[in-house]
Amino acid sequence: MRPFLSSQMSANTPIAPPRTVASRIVPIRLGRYWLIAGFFTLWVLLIAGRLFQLQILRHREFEEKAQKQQLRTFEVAPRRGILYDRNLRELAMTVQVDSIYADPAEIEDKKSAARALSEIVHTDPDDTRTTESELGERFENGQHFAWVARRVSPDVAAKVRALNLKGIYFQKEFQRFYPDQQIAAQVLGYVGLDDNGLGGVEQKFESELHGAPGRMYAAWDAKHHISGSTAKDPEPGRNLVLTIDENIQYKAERALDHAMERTHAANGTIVIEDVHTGQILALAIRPTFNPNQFRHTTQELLKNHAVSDVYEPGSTFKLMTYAAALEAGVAKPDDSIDCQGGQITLAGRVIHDNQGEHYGVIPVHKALEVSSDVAAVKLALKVGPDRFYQFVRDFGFGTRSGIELPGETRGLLQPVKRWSGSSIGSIAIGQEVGVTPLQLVSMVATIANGGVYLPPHILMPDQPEAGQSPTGQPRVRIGEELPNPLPAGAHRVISTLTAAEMRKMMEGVVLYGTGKQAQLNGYSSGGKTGTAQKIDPRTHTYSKTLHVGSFAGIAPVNDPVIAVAVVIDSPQGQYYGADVAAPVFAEVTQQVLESLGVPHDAPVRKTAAAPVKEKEKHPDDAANTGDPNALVAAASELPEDDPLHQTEQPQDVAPPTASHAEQNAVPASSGNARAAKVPNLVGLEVRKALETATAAGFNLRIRGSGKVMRQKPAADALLPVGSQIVVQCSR
Amino acid sequence: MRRFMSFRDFDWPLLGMVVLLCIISVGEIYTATLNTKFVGFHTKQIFWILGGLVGMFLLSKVNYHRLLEIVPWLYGFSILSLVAVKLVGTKVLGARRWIRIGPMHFQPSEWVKLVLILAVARYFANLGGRRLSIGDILKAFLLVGVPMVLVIIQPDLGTTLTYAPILVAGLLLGGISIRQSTVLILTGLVLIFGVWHSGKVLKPYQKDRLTSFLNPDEDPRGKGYHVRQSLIAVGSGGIWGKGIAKGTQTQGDFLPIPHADFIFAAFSEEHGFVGAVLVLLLYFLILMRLIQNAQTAADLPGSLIVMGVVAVVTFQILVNVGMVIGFMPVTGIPLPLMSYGGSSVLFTFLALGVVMNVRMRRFVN
Repeated sequence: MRPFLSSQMSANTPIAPPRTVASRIVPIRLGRYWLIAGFFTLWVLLIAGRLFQLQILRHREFEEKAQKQQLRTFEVAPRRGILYDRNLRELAMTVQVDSIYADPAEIEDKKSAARALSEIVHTDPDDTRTTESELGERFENGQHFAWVARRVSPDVAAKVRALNLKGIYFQKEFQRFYPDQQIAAQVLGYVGLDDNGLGGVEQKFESELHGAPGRMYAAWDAKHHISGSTAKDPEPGRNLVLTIDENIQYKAERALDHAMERTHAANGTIVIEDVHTGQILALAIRPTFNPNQFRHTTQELLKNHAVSDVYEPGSTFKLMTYAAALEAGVAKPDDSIDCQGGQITLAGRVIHDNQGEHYGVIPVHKALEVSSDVAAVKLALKVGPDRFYQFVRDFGFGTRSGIELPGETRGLLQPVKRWSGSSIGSIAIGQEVGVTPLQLVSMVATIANGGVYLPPHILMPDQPEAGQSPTGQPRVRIGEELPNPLPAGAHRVISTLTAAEMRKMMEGVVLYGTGKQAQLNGYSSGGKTGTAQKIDPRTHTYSKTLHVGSFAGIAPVNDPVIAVAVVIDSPQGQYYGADVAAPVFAEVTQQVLESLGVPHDAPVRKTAAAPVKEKEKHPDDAANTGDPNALVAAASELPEDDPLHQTEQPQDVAPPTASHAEQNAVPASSGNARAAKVPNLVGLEVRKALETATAAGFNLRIRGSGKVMRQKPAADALLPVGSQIVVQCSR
Repeated sequence: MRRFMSFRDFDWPLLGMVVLLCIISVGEIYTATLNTKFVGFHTKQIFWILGGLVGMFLLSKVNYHRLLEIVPWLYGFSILSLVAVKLVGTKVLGARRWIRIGPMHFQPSEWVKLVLILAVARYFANLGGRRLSIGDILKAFLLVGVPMVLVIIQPDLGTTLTYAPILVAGLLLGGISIRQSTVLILTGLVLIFGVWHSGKVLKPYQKDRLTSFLNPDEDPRGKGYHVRQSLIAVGSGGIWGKGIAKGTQTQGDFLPIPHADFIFAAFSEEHGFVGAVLVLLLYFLILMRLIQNAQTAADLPGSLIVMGVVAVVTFQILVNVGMVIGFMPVTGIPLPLMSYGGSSVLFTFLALGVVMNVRMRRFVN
């Protein structure tokens, strides 16, 4: 055995080829060579085969795996459509705000980060998602993504930015913003965290408003850095125009606030309808919420009592009964009717007149004025159950109006075959039926409108109704059936004459009867009060303490513009509709008619009792350069239904004319607008500023919220009434 | 006497294929590191390749017999350097593999390969092709085993394993009988089985690494991550690949170390089945050319040297590609001539230099 590594080669012949032991033996035999070659070939084939399997046979599988981990599909939120009022002022808009998220893997000290962040972002004690423990938990559990807080205010975002924490990122998200805060909250509803409409129009038109989300295919590498591009842009949601008039809505809400203060009622509702189009101008509900802070919203607050809640209308329903009787020809306003001393027995049930008043034979109109139950029952009996029921249905009760709001109820109305012997009497005086405030307002609007029921709407129609060309002229070919001039869903309930008689009788109620508190200053008005005991949901009997006071009215009587329903639920203290609801009607109707520029049809009392300062509303026209008198004279010669049929009344608000209506509800603004001094609004709260500006006859455009910081134009400038003042507010 | 020294006898076709592979390598390193912190490594690689080429030419000038003469010294120095690494080496990722000389970091275990090839060649050449005794075989094991042990305690399992084929090639060509090899194989299997189940030599994470390739989807984010991402890269490449620098696995940083150990996966993703098979073919041709050089060598030591090189290179390709396509565990063995890495490039070129050396002197007499 040779020693290990002993050199056999001679070390002294460095260059010459060393004498090796087997210098010319073939080092590798050919057989071994081919064996090795074969081995390599086999090996290459094996690898090629595997590559074939991976890259060709299973290619799709791996491609999917690759895409799955590299391409994340993100939904790109679309911008939600804007909700406008009828004057195209934004009621709900979408703004971009910061949301804060974290990449927990990058956060070094998760506990202290959670504490520092929650100190800033946990601004709302009700918000359980931003507490320190919640944040800490999300940081611990999240791989590469955890929300810190979504849709934070700019100052919160700035504070978090100032922290300059590692692994904290910002993302722009859309946030729904309601510039008027709680105005029309139940109509609008709100938008939840995930951009879906909850309640109101936001819910009803979710699909239109929401828009279609875009898709971003983001290449997402192993370290979760996004290097992607949008593949499909989001489609923004449709903008919707509501029939709500921000100004009128505001007035209604203020009047309702006053009423709630006076009565301490559980809740209150005001619905104002344009009688010529069926469009809802205002829908106010108390208590209310601020949709900007939807966390504090409860299902109860969100409930739109105007369409989702029924109550027994009581005496206001008698308007229906009397209209049916007049239309059926069983009575005339001046006919005499025996009120039988205030008592009638019907199928064993004794119906008493309210209020301890016992009447004998009185005229029919007087019976309505004093709200005699006996007379109403007798009239209904004369009409007969089937016909009477048909009238009830025709006035829109017991059926959904189809208004563009979620959760509308059809109300409670039994078909005739389920009526008991006394049912007709009960229904005649507004019992055994459940109606919504909206149905109530539609009923009086039908009377105001000359007897045609118009389905109420809260969404402004895009285009003229069917049967009318854009120019307003029906295009009809000879031989074709004439198109129905009424909008869809509209139908005549009572004749024009009956409607006129009813209006006269409703005016009587206000002038001489139970509705005296509904009298206006400078305008005629008509309506009917109602007081109903609430049904105790536990005992199913009439409550002794809980009542619903209501008033349904129209104004002005001879050429009505608006119909108003006021429902005050469970007032404390006084509970008669005459006391709790009629004054609210007076307050809001007075202001609305004036702001719409409706001509006075009654003497204006120059008393301090008038809710609106007359001097400001009727400024001297000395500042006008033209001769408005000539225009007024010309305008007064125009036919009654002409939109330019002008009066001396200036306007501060000019809603767009509704082209498809028989008549224009509201005269359009014209060139004779007067000038007024711009009030100083700086330093006022938004609400106060709006009040002041409206009182002075200007429209207010509000930017921001809080106190007014700047206004344009400046105070004391002379501007035409109805001009717009822009104010910049901040907190 | 100078005739065999002529560069006319240099293996130009082999060099051509090698350079072609190097160009592919540089291109792939460039695209694979485009968006990583390793950007610019392709230029470093170019310098390493140029250095390797110079080294190759220089080494081819020195008669391999001369090299065999000084091998005992080289061997002793190798052992010393491995010990030095253990004592003063730079620690990277928990393993001491590097030794720092000035601005450069060297990995002694790489060039120990070359020394071992020469040492084994010399040892078996001295045995003269006669039947091997048990003592001969044991000595051969000792010759290779000492550096293996020194490397495995660095710890560097991958490099350790690359020393084994040198021994295997030496034994096969040195004249081991079928009976002896059968006994050896059986002993080896028993040893491997024992080591595996003793639970002492290999730590559980090392075992996991060795078996996770069998089922990469079991723990896609942990143990199976490398293999899974590699398979996705290769598989999603398809027939024609995703295009240069368009490999989402590579560019998206999913594929680990796409410029070094997993460069074949990165290449397969970009160039697909066609590209991968072409590269494979190139390797096949290079290896066949090397074997031919071994066969035409002037003497047994030359032949043994070339076959040692073939064994190491083949083993590395086999294990690396096997790892990329899910046949083999992840061991951190680079792909010769493609993976980034100075030590690996230098070793390969120096090894090729020795092969050239042998070839240039094949017409001895």
